[in-house]
Amino acid sequence: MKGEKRFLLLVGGFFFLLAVGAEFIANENPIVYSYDDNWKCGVCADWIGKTQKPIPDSAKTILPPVIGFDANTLSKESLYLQPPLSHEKTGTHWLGTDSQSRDVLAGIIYGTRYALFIGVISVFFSLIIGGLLGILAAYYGDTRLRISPWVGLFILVLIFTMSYMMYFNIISSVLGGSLLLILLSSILLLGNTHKGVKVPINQFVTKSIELFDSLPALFVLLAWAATVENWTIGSMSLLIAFFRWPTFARLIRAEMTPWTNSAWVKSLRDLKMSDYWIISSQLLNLVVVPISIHAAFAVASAVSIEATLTFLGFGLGVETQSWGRLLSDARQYFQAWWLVVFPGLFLFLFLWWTNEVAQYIQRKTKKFSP
Amino acid sequence: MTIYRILTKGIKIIASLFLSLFFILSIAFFIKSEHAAFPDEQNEMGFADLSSPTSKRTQTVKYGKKQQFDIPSFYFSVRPPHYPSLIHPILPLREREAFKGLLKDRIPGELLLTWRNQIVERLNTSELGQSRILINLLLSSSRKELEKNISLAKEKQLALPTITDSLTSRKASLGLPRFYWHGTQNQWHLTAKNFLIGDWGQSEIDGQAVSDKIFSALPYTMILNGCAIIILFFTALGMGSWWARSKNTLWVKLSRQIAYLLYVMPLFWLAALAIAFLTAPSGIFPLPSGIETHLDFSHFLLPLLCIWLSSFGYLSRMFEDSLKSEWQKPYIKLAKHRGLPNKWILFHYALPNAIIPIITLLGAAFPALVSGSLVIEVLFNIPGMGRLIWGALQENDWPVVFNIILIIGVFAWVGRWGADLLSQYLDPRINWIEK
Repeated sequence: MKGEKRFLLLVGGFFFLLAVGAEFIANENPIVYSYDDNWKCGVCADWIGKTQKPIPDSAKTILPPVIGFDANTLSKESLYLQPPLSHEKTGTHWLGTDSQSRDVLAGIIYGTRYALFIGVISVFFSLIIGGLLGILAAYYGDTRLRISPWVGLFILVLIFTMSYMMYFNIISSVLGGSLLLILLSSILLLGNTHKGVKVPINQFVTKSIELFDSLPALFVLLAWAATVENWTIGSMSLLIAFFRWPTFARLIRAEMTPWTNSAWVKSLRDLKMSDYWIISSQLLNLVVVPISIHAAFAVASAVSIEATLTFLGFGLGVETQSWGRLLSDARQYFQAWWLVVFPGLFLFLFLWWTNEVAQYIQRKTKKFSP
Repeated sequence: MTIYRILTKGIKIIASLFLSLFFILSIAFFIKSEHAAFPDEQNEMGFADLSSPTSKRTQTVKYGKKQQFDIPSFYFSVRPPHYPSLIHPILPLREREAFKGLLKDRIPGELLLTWRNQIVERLNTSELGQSRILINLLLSSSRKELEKNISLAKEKQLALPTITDSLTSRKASLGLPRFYWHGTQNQWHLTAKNFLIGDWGQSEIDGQAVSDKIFSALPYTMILNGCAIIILFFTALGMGSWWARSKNTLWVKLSRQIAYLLYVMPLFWLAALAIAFLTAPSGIFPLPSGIETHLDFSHFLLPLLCIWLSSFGYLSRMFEDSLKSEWQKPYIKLAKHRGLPNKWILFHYALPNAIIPIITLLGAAFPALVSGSLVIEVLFNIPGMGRLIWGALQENDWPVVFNIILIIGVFAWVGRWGADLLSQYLDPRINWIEK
């Protein structure tokens, strides 16, 4: 069992290394070159996001990268759709080239970054939305959240004014959105009185989960993705998160509900502990494990959704070298088997790894129940 | 008592239908209005614009009117007091967006509207060089840009309306928002009505009725996915019960591992691999057909295999788990002690109970009968629903996309409630717990 953990860590570290250090592994420029007897870094500016100064021709290469191509380097000898191990003056295309004469291996390495980014960011956002709603639904149920009608009216007015002001640019939408979220959750947590009207927040959350379930998710995602020509990875992850949060809300609600009805939490409530304290320091610890298992699965599904969208031609833009983009090339050229096999193999390996991590956590942790 | 229960159930079902319809319609409607930006842009680069910018503009206005963008989008709207009461007649949409930008910079709305109308009047009678400047004026989206464009127009000695100067210097004050009621003549109401009465419009590409297109695509999807679901159900049942009841032999381990790997594999990669290696070079299966009329049975084999392989592992695993937990229950033990044969126990006691979670899963898969496997249809060139929506999206054929999404939404709803009612019928315990 110890070997398994080490193996999973090793594979994860491999992906992480590829994602973070892509510029050092696959690049046109040498990592270190000497010019005028000065040693300089040829990829560092690229790595921190600045534009690299052109390297003078007389510079001497000290340390070349492993793969001599960028993800977007076009082949100088215009080698379109070349099979693996085809040679060129500047280097060998280990895994061949795509229809735009770019190196496939370099594309795969840079694609790791996009996959990791989309997986993690979309899961992060869906965890925030789904987690908040799931916790509220589980902790308060249908009867426990009581808010005086005046506070309820105030909340409605607040939601209306804030969205009105955001829509008409009176305040910026980022500021307004975060302010609204903070105000709403603090009012819900603090404004709970025993006299007010019952707020059926559980009903509200379950109904909205059901609504999202009734959407034909892939079709709607595809249609939505088709409205924008070139998606950036950030907005793509937000789009995926918008359709994935219900799974988190459902899970957290299902995991937490038995605890909130247990004698232990009841006694905590009778001891006049605040709701915020009970949730944050007691209940949250208990759902961390199931959430992290689900999050690992969700990373896999987010990456696979993005790859599918891009594969079908409606996802990330042409200049982002995600695995789905490489594979979408294969849609037109099935005779180029290396375009099907290698990017897909990396995608498969990544999905397999996330699934394995999830199952590892599942196996290693004990399930508590009230 | 039962009448009361049936009534409440019915009300629940109908309410959920209305709610999900409203939600799907709203989402589809939102996507539609996002899509609308495209034809404007395309016209700019298309061949139509080799003529004057004015005629191009008239074309986009015509397109917008055809898409009903000149009527309000919802039953009501709430706007700041300095907005004009109606901004929907402003077309093309790009100009409306620019107009909204000016309003956000708090230029008084009614004044802006009269100014705009005067400019548009001038546009219809002006020459080519002037019309370009005038259109730029209409497209300026902030106070600064407007000022710049006005000074540019003055340099060219264009006769501008007299109110132009007062326009940029005035700033409307903020106030309480105003509420406008638009009645039923709005886009949302009309699209919903048209969908519900079955008037689905015509395709924008070839003018064919959308319903015809959908009904000619439906059989392919239904046959393919119907077969796939039936095969999946029975093979998963068989495999799951084999896994659940046999010991951990090499074959069980191997088949389990393979099924797991196939489940992890993304469907589109599986299909692409199958096409790359099983069709052209080896010739085991025929190539994906290019022409719809040449489809025959052999073309469905490989897609079926792909769909089956990708979901088989998951379903069998689910069934195995459910059967295993059923097998440990006391009533099975009792049956064993009474000396009933294992097969009898399996088929008459354990299986009917273990199937119930699978039926819920199949209910979720029910819309796939209509939506099908989009990826599979695209890759294997099967002219089903997924292929239809994919092609329509590529050519911005909005009526087709919109109606397909709504139909699949309705089917998803039917599947969910159908599975709910079916599992209640098969397992009366659920009903009992609810009571």
